[in-house]
Amino acid sequence: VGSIILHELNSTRTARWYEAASSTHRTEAWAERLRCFIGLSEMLAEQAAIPRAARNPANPANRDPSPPAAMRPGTAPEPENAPGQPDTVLPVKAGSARPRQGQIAPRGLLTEVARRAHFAAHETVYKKFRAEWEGPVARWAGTDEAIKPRNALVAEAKIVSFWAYREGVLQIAVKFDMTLPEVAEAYLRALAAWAGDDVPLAACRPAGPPACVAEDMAVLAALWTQRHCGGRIRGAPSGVPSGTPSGVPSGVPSGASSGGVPSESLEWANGSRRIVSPPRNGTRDREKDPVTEKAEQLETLARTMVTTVLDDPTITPAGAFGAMRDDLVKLLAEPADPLADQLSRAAAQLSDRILHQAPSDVILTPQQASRLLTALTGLSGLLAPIAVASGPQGADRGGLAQGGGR
Amino acid sequence: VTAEDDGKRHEQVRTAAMMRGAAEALAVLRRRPAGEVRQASEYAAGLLCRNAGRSDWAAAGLPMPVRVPETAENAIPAAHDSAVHLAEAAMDLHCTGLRPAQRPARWARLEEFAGGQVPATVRARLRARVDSARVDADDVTPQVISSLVAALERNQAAYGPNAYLTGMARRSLATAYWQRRAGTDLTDATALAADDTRVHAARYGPEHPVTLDARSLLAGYLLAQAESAPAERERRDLATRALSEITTVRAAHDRRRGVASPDSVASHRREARALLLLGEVSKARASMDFARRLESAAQET
Repeated sequence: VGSIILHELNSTRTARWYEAASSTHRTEAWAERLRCFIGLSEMLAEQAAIPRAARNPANPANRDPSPPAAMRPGTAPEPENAPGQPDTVLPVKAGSARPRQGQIAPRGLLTEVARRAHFAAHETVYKKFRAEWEGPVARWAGTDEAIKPRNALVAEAKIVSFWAYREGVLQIAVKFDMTLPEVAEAYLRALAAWAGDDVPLAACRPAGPPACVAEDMAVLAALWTQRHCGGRIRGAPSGVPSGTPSGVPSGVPSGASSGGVPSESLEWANGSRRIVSPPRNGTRDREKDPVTEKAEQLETLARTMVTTVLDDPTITPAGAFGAMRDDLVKLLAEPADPLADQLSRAAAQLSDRILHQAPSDVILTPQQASRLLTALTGLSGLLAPIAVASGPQGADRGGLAQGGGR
Repeated sequence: VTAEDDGKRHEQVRTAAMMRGAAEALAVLRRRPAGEVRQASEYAAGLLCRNAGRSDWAAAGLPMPVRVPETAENAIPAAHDSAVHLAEAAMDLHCTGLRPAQRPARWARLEEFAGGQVPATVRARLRARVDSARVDADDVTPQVISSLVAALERNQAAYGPNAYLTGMARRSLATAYWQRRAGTDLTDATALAADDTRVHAARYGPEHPVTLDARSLLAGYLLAQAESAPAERERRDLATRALSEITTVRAAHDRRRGVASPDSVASHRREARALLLLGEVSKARASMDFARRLESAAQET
């Protein structure tokens, strides 16, 4: 399973872009791009550090380099003028309940990055990240002019920064033949680790995960749907093999996978990027295909993971994941018959009422209890062979156990 | 700074990030069968030798792979945070195969190995690992308690009372008090758990799984306090509070995870204990019987 997931995740549009772009690693073009990303990270780190310096030096927090500064979300317009300070940076009050990193929206980002990357003019950076880019490395954001160079640079910086975390996960996934839930958990934990390691970059507007995460979640969603829904994904014929000619699993929404350059609209640049499935006609408009729905739910979890870290940068990846473990378990659980769910809920409610009834309460008459007992005994006879066939409870190593580490 | 320096620097950043991602992925393997967990631990140690080399990782108490890989060209220093995280993942996996009493010495060895070279925050993290292993091994000597109290005070001052790390320190100290049960220990454990519950409820909501875990711990401490309370009235008050928490937690677990989930079954047992303290013998018996039936049914299937 791990190698199938690896194959699919190595075939996303971003994976292909990264491979093509970094294959020129020895060349000046890629090295210059990396200088831009390093410059951006340094600039963001410095700006995040400003409020800490403004705080009382007697506070032990100010002697500790790890807690990031607290800032409230920025509301700046597209910032390509006055270089220097971010638009909104406020120090936390002394005795704040916990550190918190708000969105960072630095002004004059391209100019400052150009200066730090030792380019003589900011136009050099601008040209690398504008829609009609110059040079051998295509910008990740493609040719959509609506995506400003500033946003293209930030998006690429996040992707490149996260990419090696992702590679670390995939290496272990293949080596230990991870199941889909295991890969999803490992991926989300690595995402939290990335956000925790580079809080200012994760908080840079649009604050949140790198754009490649949405694609990857779409891949996991497609694989889950193929496994649990028999491959019958709306828009794709049943039994379509997992790798399409473009290298993206069947059923992955077109917005996440089309062509060699991205087709995304401004949505991702505005921090509200979603994988949008193509419009459908008639009554189907209100109904999403299962892959899109699952992908959006997984992407929401990924966003929440990063938000959780920004909301409290002292949290560990295990802690951040623990806060959403149940949600992932539910998302990746095998689909159950709704009747079984109803019965399970009813059993919980009825047992609760019987166990906690007051002496004067009559929950069931003896006859009702007898009829229910007969029905449940018969049902248990039907359920037993099914349960035995599935093996001992908890033996599925692919599951997500409750509880977590530090 | 030459282009070559830039390239090398970037490769080291990539290596560190890859190790960090791998560490998180390896942590997921903790629930695998023992043999696979051991392999994962050795693999993690191999990654360390290759990517954070020029250091004797065996001296850190980690299980070494049969063939130790050569150190890579762009290896990062052993004191790098990513290397320490990976070493912690390796140790965590290794310790799952050991008895609780064997674990503190292992963690102490890793702390000793890395402690001198890493920043204060990483040292504090390693110290917390050692302390936690000691508490798990029933070591609640004054030395351990002092270390836990110091960690809580330090985190509270550095990060604030509601930060995750402060909560972790609070929970570790509460567990240690609960295990020691001397003087006001149970009262102190309950107070810490109540703080923890308030923080989580405010952040996530009263029935979020994280809050339910905190409430479950609080209920356990209240129950222990009630069971050891000398006065009847105090016992009843504490048992009533415990029962309220347990029932809320159990009902939420019933809804989220099903009536037969291990969490629900454990809560039924606790409910029985609380009911017994309140003199509700028949209800206590019914709850306990129900828990037993669910457990035996789970074993049969």
